[in-house]
Amino acid sequence: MEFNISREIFLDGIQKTLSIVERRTTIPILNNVLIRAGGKNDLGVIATNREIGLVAHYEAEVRNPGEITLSARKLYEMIREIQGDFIHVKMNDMNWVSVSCGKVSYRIPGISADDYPKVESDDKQKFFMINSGILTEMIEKTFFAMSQEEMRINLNGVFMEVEQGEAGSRLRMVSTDGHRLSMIDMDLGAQKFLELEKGLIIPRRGVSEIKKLLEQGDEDVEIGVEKGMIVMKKKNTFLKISLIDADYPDYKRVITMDKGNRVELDRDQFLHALRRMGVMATDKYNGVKIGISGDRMKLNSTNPDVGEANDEVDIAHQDKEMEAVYNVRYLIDAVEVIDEEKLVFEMREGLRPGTIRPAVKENYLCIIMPLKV
Amino acid sequence: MSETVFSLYSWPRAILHVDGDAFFTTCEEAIHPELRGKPVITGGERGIVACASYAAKRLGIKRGVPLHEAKALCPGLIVLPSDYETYSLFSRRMFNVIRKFTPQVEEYSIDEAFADLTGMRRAHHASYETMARKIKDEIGRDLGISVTVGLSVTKVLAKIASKHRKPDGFTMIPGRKIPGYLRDLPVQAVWGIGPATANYLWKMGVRTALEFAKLPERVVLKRFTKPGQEIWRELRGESVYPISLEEKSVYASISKTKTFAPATNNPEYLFAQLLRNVESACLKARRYSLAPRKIVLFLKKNDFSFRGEEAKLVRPSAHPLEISGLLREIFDRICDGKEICRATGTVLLDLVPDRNTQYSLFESPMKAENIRRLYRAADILGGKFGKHTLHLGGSHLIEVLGKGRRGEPTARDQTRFLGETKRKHLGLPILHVKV
Repeated sequence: MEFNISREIFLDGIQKTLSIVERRTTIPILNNVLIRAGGKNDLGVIATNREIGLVAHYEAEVRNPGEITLSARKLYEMIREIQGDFIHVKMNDMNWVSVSCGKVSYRIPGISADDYPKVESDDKQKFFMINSGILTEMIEKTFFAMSQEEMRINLNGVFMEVEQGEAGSRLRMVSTDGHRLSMIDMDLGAQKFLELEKGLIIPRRGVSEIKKLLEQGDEDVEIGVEKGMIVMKKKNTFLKISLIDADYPDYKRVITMDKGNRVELDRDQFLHALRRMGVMATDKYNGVKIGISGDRMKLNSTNPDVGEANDEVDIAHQDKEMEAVYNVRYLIDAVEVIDEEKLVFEMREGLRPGTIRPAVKENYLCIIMPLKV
Repeated sequence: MSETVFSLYSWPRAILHVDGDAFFTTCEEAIHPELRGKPVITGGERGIVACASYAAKRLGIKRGVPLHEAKALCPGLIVLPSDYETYSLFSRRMFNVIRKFTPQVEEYSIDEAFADLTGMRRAHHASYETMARKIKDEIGRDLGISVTVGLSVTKVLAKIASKHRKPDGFTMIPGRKIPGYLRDLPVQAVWGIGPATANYLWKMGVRTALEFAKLPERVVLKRFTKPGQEIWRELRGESVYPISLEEKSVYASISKTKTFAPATNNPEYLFAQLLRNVESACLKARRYSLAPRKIVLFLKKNDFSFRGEEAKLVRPSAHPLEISGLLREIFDRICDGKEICRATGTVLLDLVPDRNTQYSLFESPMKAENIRRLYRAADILGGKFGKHTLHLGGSHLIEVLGKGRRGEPTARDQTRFLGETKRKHLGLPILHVKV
């Protein structure tokens, strides 16, 4: 195997594999990235941790086809430290690979590509196009509410569901950590889309990879589902993610029709007020007390370890007075992803959850459980 | 005299360590004078030696040995059930004697206390040594129990002093004499140095406490983390560990274990015992307004091997009713219904202040709040009529089948004054003089 490649392209390509290859593993080959120099000046870069697989193609001047696996981290560091424009890569018979540029040359041992787990796509697989802007927005609005607790594996991802209506397909994404729940619906129009028997759960790391894939250029992506995997395709890249095999909780149970005390707020004003309260938050206590009375919303955060913060926000007149305490971080997360000028905060009494949603569009909501203090 | 000098002053601080000698049996001897000097052990109800009197120790009876082995060693052994009620009364009185000399007393455990005497010389018109001896004598005279007292300039050294000569000993290590006491002391015998640190020190060629104390500061800073560095300072006579006055209220974990007899494989009885362990541990957690994030359950088999599992709670909770479902799940995994077990236990881990509760979207906060109120009532009932007056149905089998205590009840249990109940006793130790 021998090829020349632009440093910039190579660096970028290897960097994208770093989040996928394993960091600490007893199986050394899983630390590695597979480099496959094919015909037609195509360099394939393949990474997998057996749950997520990435195949990306880059342009390179291939002199001699071949394949090898190399430590992704070391390869990345080598390329990063090289200063020239083009990099020359060559492998000898003993699986040693030289990476050189000008007077700089590195030599590292590789492991034969034969032992690398296969990351292949099924040719018969059906794919459907989806606008990458839509998908990006949906991920952005659900990413933050996923659970990070390893104990509850079914919450460690984003739940995706497709509903076929008369007007066409509607895609829904839901995430929850048990304390708050974020949900967004998007109409995909009349075009045919994935038909799923039941919803699927994309793991956190997989969602991060999809996010990265979407960030590269704004062309649309193709999406398909097969045997417990979700597959995404974009011009030169192919991403395959194992789904979480568990039941998602019955999230619809949490969504209430009761409007509670409906408070309309200016998004930016509310966000800044919340951030001011957030100054008092610590790991031990991060509550913000929100009281509504007349045409005022009063915010207070009193943390015995830090101090006290107070603020007021103007609201439309409320007939009922009420007060509730929420985790300020949860409120900030929900408000931050709203992209309208006005938002609606439905507050409910008696330790019932509050809901934050945009004032106009009805396709998004975030439900937040209050704190009992 | 040693060539090493750590401190030019004899008493930069005066820290006292008071350690009960074979405390449980000594208390028994104090209330049963006829037992003095005889081989006595406590722990009869557990089937193992919890504490052995010095007479028993001389016959080779050690802590933790099964009763039948102990009896084989000494046929005339006097086996008593543990009477913790009496021991804690003695303990409290012992601390109060020390408090007469200084307000700064740390109740380190049931039979151990640290006290800071620094600056009290003028008030008592006495040297530190005289004060320490007075404390020791007064405890011996008033309570009829012997204690060993160590006096030095730091907690670690005071502990070394009290260990130096036991029982009924008094050892004083003033600042200038530190090296003499450390020279022959194996490093692993220093308070706070466990097997791992000791092994590490051995690798560095450090065998004695003196060799450790003599390590240069830069080596200590480089090779040890904070705990190691602190012990090093303390050994050199620089007091870093404060005497903490507060009753212990910050717990990293709370554990409760119960041995019962006969050992059994009846799963419902085992579960009842385990649930009772959890009820007891949660009771203590609630007393300090704490709630665990994690819980460990374990069974101890007849061959003393353990089988246990740890689980994370959905949210911190010190209310057994809320977690009983989870407990049953864990129990069903660790209990096969065949193996005979002699003890059950639980550990509450990752304790956090139980102040604010973040309920889950998928639960009913009202139900949880009601459970909280229920336990508030249960704790009031417990205070009035005794612990576990109100308990879970799952642990009720203990009340039916018995607590699994073997042997005779304690002398205190057999005595009942007017107005006392099974669970409520006067706070007085009772002298059982045979006439």
